[in-house]
Amino acid sequence: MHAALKIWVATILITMLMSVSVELTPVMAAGVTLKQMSDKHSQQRAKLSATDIMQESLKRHELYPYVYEEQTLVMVDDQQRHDVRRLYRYSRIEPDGAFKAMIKFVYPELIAGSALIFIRHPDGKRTSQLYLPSLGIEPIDYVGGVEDGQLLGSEFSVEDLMPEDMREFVYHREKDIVDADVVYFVLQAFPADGSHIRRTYESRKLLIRQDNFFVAQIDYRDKQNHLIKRQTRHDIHQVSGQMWRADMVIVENYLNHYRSILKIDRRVYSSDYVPESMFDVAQFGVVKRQVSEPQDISQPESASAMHEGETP
Amino acid sequence: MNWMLKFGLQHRVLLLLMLGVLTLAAAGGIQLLQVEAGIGSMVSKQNPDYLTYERVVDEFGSDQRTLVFVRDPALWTATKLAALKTLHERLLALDVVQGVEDIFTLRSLRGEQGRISSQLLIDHLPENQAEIDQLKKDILYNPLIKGNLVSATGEDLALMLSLNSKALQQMDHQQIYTAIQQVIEASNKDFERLFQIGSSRIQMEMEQTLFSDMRTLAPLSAAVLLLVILLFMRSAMAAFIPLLTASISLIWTLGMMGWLGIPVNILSAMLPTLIIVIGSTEDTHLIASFMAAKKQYPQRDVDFCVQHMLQKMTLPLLLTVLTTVLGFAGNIFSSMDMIRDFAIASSFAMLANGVITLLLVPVLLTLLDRRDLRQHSGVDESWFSNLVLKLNQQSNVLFQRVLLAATVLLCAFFLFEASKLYVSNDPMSYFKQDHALIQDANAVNAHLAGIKTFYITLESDTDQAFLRPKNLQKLADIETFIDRQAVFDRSISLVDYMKLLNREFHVGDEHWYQVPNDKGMVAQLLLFMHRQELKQYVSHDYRRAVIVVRHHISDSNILNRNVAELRQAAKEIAGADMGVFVVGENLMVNEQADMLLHAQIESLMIFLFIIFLLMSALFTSFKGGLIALVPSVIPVVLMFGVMGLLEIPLNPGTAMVAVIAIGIAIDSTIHMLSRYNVHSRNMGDAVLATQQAVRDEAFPMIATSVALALGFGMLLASDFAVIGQFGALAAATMLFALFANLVVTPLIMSRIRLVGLYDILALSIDKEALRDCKLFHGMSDYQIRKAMLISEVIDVEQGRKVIEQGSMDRCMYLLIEGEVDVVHHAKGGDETIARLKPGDIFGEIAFVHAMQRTADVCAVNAVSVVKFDCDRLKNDLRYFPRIVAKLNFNISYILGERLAGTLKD
Repeated sequence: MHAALKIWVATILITMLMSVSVELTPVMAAGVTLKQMSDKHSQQRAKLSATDIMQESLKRHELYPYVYEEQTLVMVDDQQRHDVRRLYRYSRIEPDGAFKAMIKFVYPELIAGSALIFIRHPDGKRTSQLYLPSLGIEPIDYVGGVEDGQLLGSEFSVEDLMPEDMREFVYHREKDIVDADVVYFVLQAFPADGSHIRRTYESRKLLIRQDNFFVAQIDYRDKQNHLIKRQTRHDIHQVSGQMWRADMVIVENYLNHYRSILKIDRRVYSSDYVPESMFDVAQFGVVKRQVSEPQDISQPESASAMHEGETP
Repeated sequence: MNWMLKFGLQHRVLLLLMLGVLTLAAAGGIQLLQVEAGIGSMVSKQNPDYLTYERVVDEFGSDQRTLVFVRDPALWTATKLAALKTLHERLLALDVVQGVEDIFTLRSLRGEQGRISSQLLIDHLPENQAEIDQLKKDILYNPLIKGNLVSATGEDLALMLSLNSKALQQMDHQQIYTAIQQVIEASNKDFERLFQIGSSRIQMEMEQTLFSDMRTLAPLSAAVLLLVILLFMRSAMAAFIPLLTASISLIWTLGMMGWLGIPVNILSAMLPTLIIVIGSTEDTHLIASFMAAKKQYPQRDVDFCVQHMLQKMTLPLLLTVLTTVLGFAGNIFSSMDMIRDFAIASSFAMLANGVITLLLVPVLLTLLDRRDLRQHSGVDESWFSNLVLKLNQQSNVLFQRVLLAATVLLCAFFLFEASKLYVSNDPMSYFKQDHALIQDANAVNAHLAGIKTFYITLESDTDQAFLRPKNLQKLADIETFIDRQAVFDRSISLVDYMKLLNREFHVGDEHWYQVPNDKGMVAQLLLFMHRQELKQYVSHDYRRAVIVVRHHISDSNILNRNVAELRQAAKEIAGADMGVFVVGENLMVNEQADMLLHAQIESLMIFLFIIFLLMSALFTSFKGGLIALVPSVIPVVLMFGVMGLLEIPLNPGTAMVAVIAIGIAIDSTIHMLSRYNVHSRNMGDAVLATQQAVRDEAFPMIATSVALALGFGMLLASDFAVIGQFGALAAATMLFALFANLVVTPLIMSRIRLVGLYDILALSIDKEALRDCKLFHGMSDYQIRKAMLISEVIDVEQGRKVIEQGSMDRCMYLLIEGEVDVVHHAKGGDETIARLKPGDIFGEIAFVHAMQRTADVCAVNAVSVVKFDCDRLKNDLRYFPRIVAKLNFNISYILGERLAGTLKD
């Protein structure tokens, strides 16, 4: 056993050494040191435009097509009183680029089953539908007004729950900043000319980590450049490959001093969890009843499901 | 007291130095003065609702918000809406403004078939008139906005500002007002009418008016005082002295307020005027007395005249200072901070002025130009006196009865009018109707719900009580009751939102404008309200809900009556398992009105009782105390009658008039009764004594009353309606008091006999001589003095007859000084029967039985005798029964002894 262990350890060490050698051979062949490599990356990043950075961020983190999440939403008022809601969130990105998402409340009991669907169509048009169990099975088209308006009593907006639509914004890159040894890209996003989407803020400042292109913070500012809202993302961890996700998102409203904390309790990347029929208006009431059963979620995942840590 | 005054005269420099140091110390306190012109000082912290109010405000938000009012007939045009948006953004950009609630921030909720829309009313500025018209339609469709933030015509609109609590701590209301006003002025040109109204403006206007009043009223009062004194006394020095003492008193008072942390409030605006006007009466009395002494003793020096003045005036002045201080201190226990602070400040001011006057005036008189005071004798006093005397001299019994009856009828009429008196304590009523603030408030009230707010809070022990339809229905029922009352402009609660949501989620069908009948439905509809909106109407745990009521009622009486009715109804609707509280700062201020009335009655009664006791002690008779009150009560009855007749409300200003007026009016009564006593004792004839007392007192009484009336009248120039009303009523009351003291008092006092306590104490008697006097056998020293004072003291020169043989009268005499011979004239010649010494009595037979005198009684040397008139003693029996009975008993004893002696002889 002892000899066998020695052989196993030696094999691992050799494999690791070989791997490093393979990785470093081209670099070393070119006569580049590790420090020089780091400098090169810095130079590359310095050359990136705001749009490049945003695209890279979206590509890495936001475009996985099927996501199911079990969330806890804690709403904190200006006197630190809490309201807790639990909800399920389903999102799909269709092949045509349409984005569909649904949030469904499961707690408190009185609002359990209430659901909101929002869809961003390929042409950028938005629609929403609402389902309230006490009103019957028919969903109602819901017009919520401005994109960044407070959603169902929280400080989150529809916009906060959707991937960035880069067509709607013009980005400017600002000087990078370093905070707690983490280097961030700083982007200013202004609504694009001709955008039909109405917003109450004037601009957004995005702080994107340079190491993984993950959006860590978004500041919303009004015409007077006053900070009106801040979204921060916490418990960031690498899901798989280059994709990172935050398990906690906090939105702080500086106008009313309210906060909303969204905690992701469970996340599954799987088309099975987010079937297309879920967003079918004709089947809405029926589907809602199906998905509202808690045991559906606790069933063993299908083979196509990807849990955090797996490669999508 | 005299020793202190004399000490001051003897050590003038030391006295002036002490006064100077005290004045400097007081001046240091002026820098510490704080101004409290806010509504907070009008609310009693002892109010049982105060804690509930604080809790409600803490939970549901303050009722003190600023409203920016916009009026323009062309408001619904692209240009005006753009200007309105600019105004909104400018206001929102202010550090002090935390939020703006208006058509740009409110959400509309519209339901159509298969569609619900919950969005900002205006998320972008409409681009064409059709869109604008639709917007206006949408806005007026919302029952929570129509009449509340936008008038029914759409021409008037409100932007409700909630202020940043941090900024509020750092900025005063003046800065807050100015910051908002700068934004308003920048947009002024864009609208027909644009203004702000709210607590910061009310406080700012109150402060500005307060300082403006202080700047204008004091010089006006000083000018009037100068004119009156110059008119009556024709002396510049006589005018200068009261101004000097008033100025020092004012410094002392303001300094005291600064050092003790008593804030200046709107009633304090009256202080300079009151000190100048009321304080001057004491100076005037002193100077008039000094001038009289100069006239009476032309050969004597100034010091003698000052001493004479002090001897004559110290006690009456101390008494008048005391009664005036008591008058002002009458409200010292008021539950309202504003009145209590004013009562402390004003009573201190009166006390300080009295002390300063008594200490400083004698010194000033000895130091100032004596020629000035000597040369002028003032106006012809006889003109005033004769005018009054004419009335009195012509007064036969019938006329007097008619006059008294007329006075009684007048009082009855005014008492009836006084029954119409109502109480108002609304802060807005403190301002004059033409004040810009009132005009603006009226504009808001005419088109939108009133700016005054109160809360009806329902409290349950059950968790999530107000998610239950049954409890929401209770809120709806209370609101229905409010609608039926038809006095309040608007009420809003969670129920209004629920009804609206319910209606719109049912395609806008009016039938569904009702409380949802299912708890789940309530909870699900509430998903469409943000906690920030909900927190104004329901607590976080849904145990407490509040109905916000807006109104524009300024009459405390109407408000209090309707609130009491509402409170009762709300309790009945809520049921026994729920607590109901109806609270609001505005309500508490108005509820103070009831307390104000009760406190006013209480202070008046206490003060009248104190005055009654004081007067009873002063005149050693309860009847005297009661009678002395009559001239004080008449002006108060007339004053309340005038208030009822002219519909002047009882408010913090007018509430103080009665006690202050009595405090001042009683001074003249004291002077009048004291003079009457002196003359009554010396003259023996009540009618003559009354006429002489009137002759003596008419001029100073008229002079001071006119000066006081004019001085108080100056308060009409105040920009505060309450102070103007106080001034007008106080002036009228001074004239009523003058009428009472000159017409009614003489009529009453001619029918009574009073003996002053001071006269009793000051009477110089030969105790040795009177110790064995049989007439006073068994009587105390006090009773002896009083018996002597109700009689007539006569001084007879040597050789003159006290009694003449053969004459007829019903008098008995007591020799108190000198010696007399009893001489009988007979055919055989004169025979000296006896020589009497002090303590002996004579003439007692004629006292008990009308008969001719049997002998002369001649003064051997200068003698003093006390004359006891039988008829007068019979009359006095009513007023001094114990003493007269004792005297009669002793006379009987003396006569019995005489009879026994005669029989023995």
